Amino acid sequence: MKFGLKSSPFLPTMTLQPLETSLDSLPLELLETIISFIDQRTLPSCALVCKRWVHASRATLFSSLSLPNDLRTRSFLNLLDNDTPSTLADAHIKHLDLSSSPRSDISSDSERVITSWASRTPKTQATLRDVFGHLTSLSVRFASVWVTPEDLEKVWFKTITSLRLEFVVFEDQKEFQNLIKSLPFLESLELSSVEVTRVGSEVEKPQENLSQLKSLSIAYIYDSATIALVAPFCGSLHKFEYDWHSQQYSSAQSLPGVGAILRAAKGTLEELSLKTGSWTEGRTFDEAFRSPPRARTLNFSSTPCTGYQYSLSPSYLSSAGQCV
Amino acid sequence: MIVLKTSDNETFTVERDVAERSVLIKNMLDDIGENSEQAIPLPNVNSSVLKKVLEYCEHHRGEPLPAADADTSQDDTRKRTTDISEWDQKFITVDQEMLFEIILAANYLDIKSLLDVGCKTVANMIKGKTPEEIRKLFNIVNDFTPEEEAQIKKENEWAEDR
Repeated sequence: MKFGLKSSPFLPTMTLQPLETSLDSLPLELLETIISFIDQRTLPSCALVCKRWVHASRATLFSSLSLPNDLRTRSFLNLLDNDTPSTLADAHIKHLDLSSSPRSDISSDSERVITSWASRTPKTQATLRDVFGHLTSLSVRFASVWVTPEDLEKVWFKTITSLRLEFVVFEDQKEFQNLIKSLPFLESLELSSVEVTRVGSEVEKPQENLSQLKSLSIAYIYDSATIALVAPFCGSLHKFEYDWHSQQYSSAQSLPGVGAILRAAKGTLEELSLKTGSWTEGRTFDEAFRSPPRARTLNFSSTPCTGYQYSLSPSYLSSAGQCV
Repeated sequence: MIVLKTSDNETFTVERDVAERSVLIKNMLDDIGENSEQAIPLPNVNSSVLKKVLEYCEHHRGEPLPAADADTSQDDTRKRTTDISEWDQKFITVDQEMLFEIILAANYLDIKSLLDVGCKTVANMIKGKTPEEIRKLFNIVNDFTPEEEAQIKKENEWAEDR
């Protein structure tokens, strides 16, 4: 406390009120609440006030981090490569976005850049664990070839509960399934335009508790075998969304894959949403659901212009009720 | 009517719906039942602060309380606006010490909306200031080494040119 400062002629008057209760007497959580209300432009200043202010200032400024290309990723890693510990570890970064632009000339394999940086020394590995040890979600857009580290210890994003992949290419099914296997806390998976270049015929047999996956959303994937790759992880799935995006000619083709997921999730599925451009594939559709799920909410929709809107759903719903 | 007793042994008699703006008091009342004549002790709040807090509760009586599970403190979903209503703004125009006392009391008594008003007010005082100005404003001592300060500045630059 600053009693007695009033008599000092050297200090500016504004600091002179003796403060019984000051900002310093607030518990840390309240200081953090205050800082959470501060605008992005002042937050860098806040981090420089004193050590007590660092965590909250960093957490708000860096709760989401976007590394849209390799240059940006390397520049970020350079910040961590320092004798003075980086305050970015204090940020407890939660969301990481590795989405790049399709037109970008700079390659964007940020995941691999980070993984290889981490494997340089034990120190970089520890630093990376500090910085990304609190990640809850990862979003990747436009990755040419995804490589999951062989050594699961090196999967630096394994704390995530939510993963979104868009325009990501996997070389083969092992690469794809290894990624999901390496994420023990994964609950929500969103796949859009994901490509698995080589899909073999032997798709892994469903195992008990292979994954905690609760929510799955698939869009713009029409290859049945690719869709079926997710099925082994759907043993405790609650919510499933599949969007055909009006690709009615591809609908039939992808149905067996959708069916495989529904069969895997049979016991736990509560919410199912299937959007299609047309129900003309009704026959095939029913075949895919030979053993329909016990879903509580079934949401079927189709584009209005088809004229087939909802024609299937009532009968399907009732048959679903009986079949279970 | 409810009787509240402060740390400096003053008693305040208030209507129940005013006192129940405080989730802490509401829960206490739920526990001890309707008929208790006993004064509710508030050992962490002094009379001058409680008087101020009750003024706030009186003005906002009858407004819906935030749901108990709405408290997501550090979550991103929480509204990040620093707008404060005109009445609240006038109410919270107090010296720093009282401001922090109100924040502490609102936190202890669990009056979410008042806590937000207090925290937003402090946030507004900080906005746009340099680190040195912030330290001066709140009498904070700079405890960084020059190296640590340099590292944070470097990181700040990185954050700015995104």
